[in-house]
Amino acid sequence: MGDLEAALAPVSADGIEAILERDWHVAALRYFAVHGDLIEALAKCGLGLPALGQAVEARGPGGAHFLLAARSPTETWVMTRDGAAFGALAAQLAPCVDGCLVDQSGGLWPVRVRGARIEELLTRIGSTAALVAAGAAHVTRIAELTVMVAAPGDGAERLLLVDRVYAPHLFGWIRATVADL
Amino acid sequence: MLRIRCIHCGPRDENEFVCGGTSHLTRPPLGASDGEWAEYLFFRDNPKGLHLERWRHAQGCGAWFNLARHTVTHEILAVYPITERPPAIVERTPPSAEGSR
Amino acid sequence: MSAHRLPAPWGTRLDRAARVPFSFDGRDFEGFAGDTLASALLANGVRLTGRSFKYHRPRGVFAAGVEETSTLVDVGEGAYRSPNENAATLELVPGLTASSVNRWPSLRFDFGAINARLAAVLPAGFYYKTFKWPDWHWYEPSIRRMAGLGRVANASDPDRYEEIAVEVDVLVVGAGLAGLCAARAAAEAGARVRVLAAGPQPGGALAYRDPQRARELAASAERAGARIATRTLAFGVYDHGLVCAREKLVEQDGAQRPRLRERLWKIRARAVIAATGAFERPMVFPDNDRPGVMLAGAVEEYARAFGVACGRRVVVAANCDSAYDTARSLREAGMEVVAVVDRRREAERGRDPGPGTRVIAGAGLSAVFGRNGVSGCSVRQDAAPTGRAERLDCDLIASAGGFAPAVHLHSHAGGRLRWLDAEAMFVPDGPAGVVVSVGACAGVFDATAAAEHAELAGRALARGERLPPWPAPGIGRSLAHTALSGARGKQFVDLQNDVDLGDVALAARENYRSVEHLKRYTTTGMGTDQGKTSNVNALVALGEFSGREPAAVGTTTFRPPFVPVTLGTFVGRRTGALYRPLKRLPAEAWHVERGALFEQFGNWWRPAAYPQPGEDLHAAAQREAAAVRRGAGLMDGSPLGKLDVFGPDAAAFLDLMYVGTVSTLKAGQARYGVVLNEHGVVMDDGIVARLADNRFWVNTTSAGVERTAAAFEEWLQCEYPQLRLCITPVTSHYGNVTVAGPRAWAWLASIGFDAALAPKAMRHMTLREATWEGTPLKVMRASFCGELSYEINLPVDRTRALLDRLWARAAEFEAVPYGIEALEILRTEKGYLHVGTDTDGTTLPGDIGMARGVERKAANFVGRRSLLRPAALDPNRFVLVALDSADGRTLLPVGAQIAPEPPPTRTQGHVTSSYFSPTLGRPVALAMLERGGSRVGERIKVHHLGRVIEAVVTRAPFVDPEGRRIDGEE
Repeated sequence: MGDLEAALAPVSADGIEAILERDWHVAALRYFAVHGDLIEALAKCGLGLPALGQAVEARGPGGAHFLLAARSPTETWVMTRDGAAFGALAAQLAPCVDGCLVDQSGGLWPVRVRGARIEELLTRIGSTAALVAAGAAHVTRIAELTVMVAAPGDGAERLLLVDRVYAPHLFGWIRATVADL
Repeated sequence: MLRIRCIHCGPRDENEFVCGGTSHLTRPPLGASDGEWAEYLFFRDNPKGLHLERWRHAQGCGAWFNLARHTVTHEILAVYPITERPPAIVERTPPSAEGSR
Repeated sequence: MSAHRLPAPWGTRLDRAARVPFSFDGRDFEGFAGDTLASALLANGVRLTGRSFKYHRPRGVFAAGVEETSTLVDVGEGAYRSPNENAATLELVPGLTASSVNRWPSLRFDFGAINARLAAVLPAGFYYKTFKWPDWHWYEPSIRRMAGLGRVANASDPDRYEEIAVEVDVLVVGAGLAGLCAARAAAEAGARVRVLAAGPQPGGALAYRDPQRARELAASAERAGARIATRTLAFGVYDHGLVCAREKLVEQDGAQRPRLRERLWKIRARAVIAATGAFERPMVFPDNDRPGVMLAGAVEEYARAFGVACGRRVVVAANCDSAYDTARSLREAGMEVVAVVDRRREAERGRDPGPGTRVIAGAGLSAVFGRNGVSGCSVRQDAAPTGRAERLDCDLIASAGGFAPAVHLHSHAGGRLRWLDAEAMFVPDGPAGVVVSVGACAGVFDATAAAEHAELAGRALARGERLPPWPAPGIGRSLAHTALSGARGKQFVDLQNDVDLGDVALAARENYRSVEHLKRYTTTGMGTDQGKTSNVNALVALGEFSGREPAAVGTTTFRPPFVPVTLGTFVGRRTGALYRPLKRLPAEAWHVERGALFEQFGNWWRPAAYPQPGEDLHAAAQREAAAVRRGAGLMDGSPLGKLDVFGPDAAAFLDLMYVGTVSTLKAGQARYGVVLNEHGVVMDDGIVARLADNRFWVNTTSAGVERTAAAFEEWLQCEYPQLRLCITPVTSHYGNVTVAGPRAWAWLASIGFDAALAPKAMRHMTLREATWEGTPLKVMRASFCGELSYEINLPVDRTRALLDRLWARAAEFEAVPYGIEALEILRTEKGYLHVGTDTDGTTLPGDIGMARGVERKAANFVGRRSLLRPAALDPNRFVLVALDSADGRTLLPVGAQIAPEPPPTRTQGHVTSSYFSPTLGRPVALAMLERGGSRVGERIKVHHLGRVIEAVVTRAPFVDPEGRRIDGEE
């Protein structure tokens, strides 16, 4: 099946790049309703739940940069590169009863895709649902996998959040497709 | 491949979804007779026309929802939350045999 | 030879400066860039290009487009061999190597021609009537070898394929006059418009009739914003405006290197304009399949587009005014038009061929001379059916039988058809869903009317306005049935499958009167052309023979694909390593370094075993299993499913989902649980541990985690939305190292594991959180092998470190890595079941020894009611039992059936798991057995491929029945 690490190496060609970023902390925020002590605890950290379909950038504990995107009506994924801020958030949410934080740093890996030919790549490995607008994020089917596509900020780049165990498969599709672009 | 409008995510391709069969089934209580229970487990209507069914947006938001579909033309007449009753849907005249598949 | 090149400006597609060498049947030829293989063969005077499917009659080029059936060729060699390519649509490229099909040893001397003499025993449906005595199997191999045309490559397709998704407002299929007019109008009205042209350039017939206008029209459409894609053929309309098209990226030029060959377009369109034109109907007359009989429009196209005159002296067999335009064109090209033989009476003709061309009205061809190529024909008049036929010398017969609109996309979309009596054609009866037809495929043939209607339609669709009405056909009159009454000989209806009027008459006589039966019984319309030139002639003939009008006979249903499509185009990237998504272990490299033999288990790529030099898989598994029982082993348990279940109602919900009771667990305690579906069938099993009051750690099988999580979600969202809990899969977040064996604890302690986890301090079936060198762990004492066993869950990026540290001390404890095969041996020795292996879609909890657990639980759970059904209470149910091999040596084959007598007989069960036990030195097995619970000690017979093996029903576990080994060495 080929070397795993080699399979995850960055893909780079004219107008398109895909890089696995392993330095993010990712967690799933789970909640039963949009009111409750989880929301209060989040607010204390400077964060709020985004609407379904939105990618929100915010400043969390210690002013650290956070990215939030709703995965479902009862789940939001939150990610940051700041380990201390992530720990602070987890601690703040630990006593909550109306929801919880589930660490997924080992399970959800972000792949950053950038370049002028993003659209050509995404419509070959997924459907037109992969063409997420700037500031939006949603889950769709890419390379036969369940993947969240987020377009934070001005949307020039995309973040694909994929289940770690399937990351080599996603990279396989990207690499083969880019080679023929 | 159908185009299905998820109640949260909007229109997506059918391969993002999983079909959950007929909706609004009434589960008989534990004390029901064997016949009533078997009827619930094994028997379904197979209408040529309007069918109310459940779908899950498995490779999307993961939500279950209801969907009203015409089984011959695949026209989707409505989508509505899983816990709700169907909206007032006017049954269209089924197509004649010549035009159907 | 009579076919020859015409000088410029004939040949609008040719680049005469670029000569293209190619080969056909081993002979070298030359053509020009812009030629198709068919036009180049014609230009080189190649008259014989194929042998018909059944009778092996000589055939030549017949048409100029997708409807060609006589010139199918195999292109390329070795793994790149592409069979049954249509020479009329194959672009000529340097190095193209093509060979004819369905002939041996050669086209000219084909042994298969004997079939023509056997025609009497080879009519439609012959295989239902002949070649049956004494046993049809005798004849089957020969008949099968006769079937088929080209030959497939014997190797995997080395080329690559991709797919692409796009959304448009208006998709126009066909870039002829009507298509381009509609596209331009729609684009000017602001719609996102894409136009698909199947060929290498847009323009359709306009491209060779008025190239300048075609270029201007295409350019103006693009200026308005429409995007024109070439070499892209729409082959199907599907639900909700999905149109799929196949784009050809490279042509078969004999280059033996893998390339991106085709692209599948998945286009979602709000509106689809079908501008696909119409196919010309062939005239029906005796021997209308000879080389040199061609569709009239094709003869004109070869002259204008490819600069090839298909003959010198042509007779035009006409049933349509278009024949006269064709006659004029051919005269311009320098061919002698001997006569236009018009099937219609004088009064029905609407055109003149121009001065000097003879017209014989009310007449038809009664014979064709020349077997390997037309040398003449004879003409008979309707008014004088028994009089002498007039012989005409000619080397080309242009067949102009009328037109059949290409309504395929309209039909895919569920559209209805209407029969026009005067023009003898089916036309779309209005729009079909999102598909609107324009131009010839809508039955609009007058150029001006078609262009105007197409513009109005394009604009209306772009704006969402009402559609304009369809104009009249403007094509004059055509007869439905064109055969001369009393004509003798083979009058072909379907060239590709050798179906003639006699076959249609036979079908009618034998009461196959439905057009659907006609198709299957005679195979008309079932070839690679799907009846593009035969459908109408066939149904009209059936109508004649069964006394019905064509409208009453009707058509069969057109289904995608419109043309044959390479399988690779549908497969796309899903080959080799990308065939299916495979899950990978967090520290896969560590296992590779230990020499692991990886295999697919479910959709995980994980070690089956770690064979040492000289070991095969079986030997390695035996050694590993023995080592675990003797000392210690480690296994990567990362695939084991893990769900985080949180919330105040988590316990109550899990009580509903499981056969056992979960809510009575204390924090840190774990219990084995089984999940049923509503039918009571065992779906999954696993250990559930309580982390806290409102939090549970739920294990599932490795293969079933998605299925089980989805089942939980379904109940939660659909049936219990008021319950407050959430289910989050966390399998991928953790790495798992499972350490098992009597010396497992000693081994873990040696690398610094906390004494609080020692067997004395931590009981079996409990879960503890701990740390190791700063790394947080969730450790569970659970055992699938029956030995002391620790399932250690830790962050994925620390998994490798734990493996390395353990491995460094492995030798001291005689510890080994062990894979799935060894695990299967160990768990079978203990009689532990594997859901999906020892259970199937009928297995209830009572069948696997859980009846008492069900009785003890008072509360409801999923599937409970089904356990009270008569079938569930049947004492003769198959239950899981343990089996010993009677001779203590013979391994019972998995799947072998159990019965008192050999098959055919009623089964009493089958072997589900079976391994040689290194611990006991003999085979052990599990099986489902009817009334197994009351048959312990009984000797039974196991049947496998004709052998009978004796076994004895016994009790599990085979090893350590009292479970004394669970706490390891004392």
